[in-house]
Amino acid sequence: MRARPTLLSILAAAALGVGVPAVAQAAPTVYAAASLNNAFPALDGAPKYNFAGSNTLQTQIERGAPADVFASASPTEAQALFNKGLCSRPVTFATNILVLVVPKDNPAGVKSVYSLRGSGKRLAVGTAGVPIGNYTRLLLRRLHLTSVLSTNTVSQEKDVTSVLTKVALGSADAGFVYHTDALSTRGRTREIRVPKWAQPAVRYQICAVKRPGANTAEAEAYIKKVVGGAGRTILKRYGFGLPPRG
Amino acid sequence: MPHVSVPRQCIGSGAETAARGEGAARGDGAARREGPAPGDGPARGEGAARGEGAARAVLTRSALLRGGAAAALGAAIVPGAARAALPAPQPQGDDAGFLQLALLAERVSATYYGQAGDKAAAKRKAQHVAKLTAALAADAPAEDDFAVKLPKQVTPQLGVRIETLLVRAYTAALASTADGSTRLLLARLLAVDSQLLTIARAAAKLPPVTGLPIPIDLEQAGEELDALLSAPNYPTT
Repeated sequence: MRARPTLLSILAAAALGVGVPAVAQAAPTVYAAASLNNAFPALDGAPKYNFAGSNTLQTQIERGAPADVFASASPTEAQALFNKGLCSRPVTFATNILVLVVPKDNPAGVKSVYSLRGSGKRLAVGTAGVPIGNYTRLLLRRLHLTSVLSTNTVSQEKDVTSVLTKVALGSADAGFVYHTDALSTRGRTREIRVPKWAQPAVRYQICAVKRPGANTAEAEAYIKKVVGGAGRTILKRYGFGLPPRG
Repeated sequence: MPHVSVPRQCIGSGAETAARGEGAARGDGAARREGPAPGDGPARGEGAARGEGAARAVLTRSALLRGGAAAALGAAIVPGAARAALPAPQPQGDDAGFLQLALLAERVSATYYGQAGDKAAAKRKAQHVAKLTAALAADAPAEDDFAVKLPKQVTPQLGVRIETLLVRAYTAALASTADGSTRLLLARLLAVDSQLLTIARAAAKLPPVTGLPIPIDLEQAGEELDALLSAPNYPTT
């Protein structure tokens, strides 16, 4: 007959630091760009997630927020933390492109980005400083369309999810979001392609946060999962582009 | 691979002319300042009528010698100095649009000439890419952001298509670029690419372009360029 471990023996083993592997390490806390809010939980449901604009998350980490992993929608934020010694060297793990989304019934009749040249439309964009806002402004500069930010009624949103929500609810006639976000509201929005040559390079980077008490081992295991085969498969399934294996 | 005949001395001289234009003009000025201006000098005074001719003859001869030396020195030094003195482009607002389009189109063109076996033109195009990359600074796309999509066998007609796109885009850019230094850079690149277009048309047995090229707007130019690019590391819609 096999002897079952008693509560006393488990407690004794825990006190000695042996024999209870699964309980010893908690899942990491992951701070990630809002556009990763579908792909990351699908990859690993265990971590505690906090999704928001990358620059907001960066500020929170700088102020000592209990993050173990940071994944940003542009290299700027992750590199800033790395330069301050607050996270490990960032690794690029995914790419994305910008698209224009309109409500499914497209009441303003937007056919291309150049349709925005006419005035009087309600346009939702990310605020300057958050990656989606910076990428949108760069895209508009390249397309000679910066003027659309002054000829239309523009709402500035704190992250890409807010831009998408505004368009999906019909509160905006069009908005600039990532391709992966547009996929998540396909029933309610329509995606309009943006010229390839003008696309900004949207690169996601990930790093392990350095702070007292950080769950570094689990953070590194999580990052390994994201950049590894399983992570690449999930990211691709959710519409992200992948950098060359390095 | 079909042969694309490109007279190399033509490319070299064209590029030299385009790059040197400003400097050569300054060189002239510098040489003139070295010599005496007409009517200058002691011979101008009253009662010096007889000595005037002799003095002028001496001055003219020496001035010629000095002027010649200065001109030779100027020709050697000033074009380089003029190039070095070119203020760095500082694109403002939407200036980035044509710079980005031109940079990617020049990459396409460099790849085309590489495949066509014209090393001189490919090298010239690589220099254009470097200048445009420097002008765009942090906003310039990385090497691996885009890949050039050309058929394995390139034809002279394709060369004409690419150079026409560039020349028309540069012509349009000159009218809408806000920063003066950026405009000057684009004008110099236009001068070189106009010559390459002429050569490409000759290779394709097409008549040379007469008159100014028709400017192309960014929307149409972008559509043409997109057909020659791919972005392998980015998702597709």
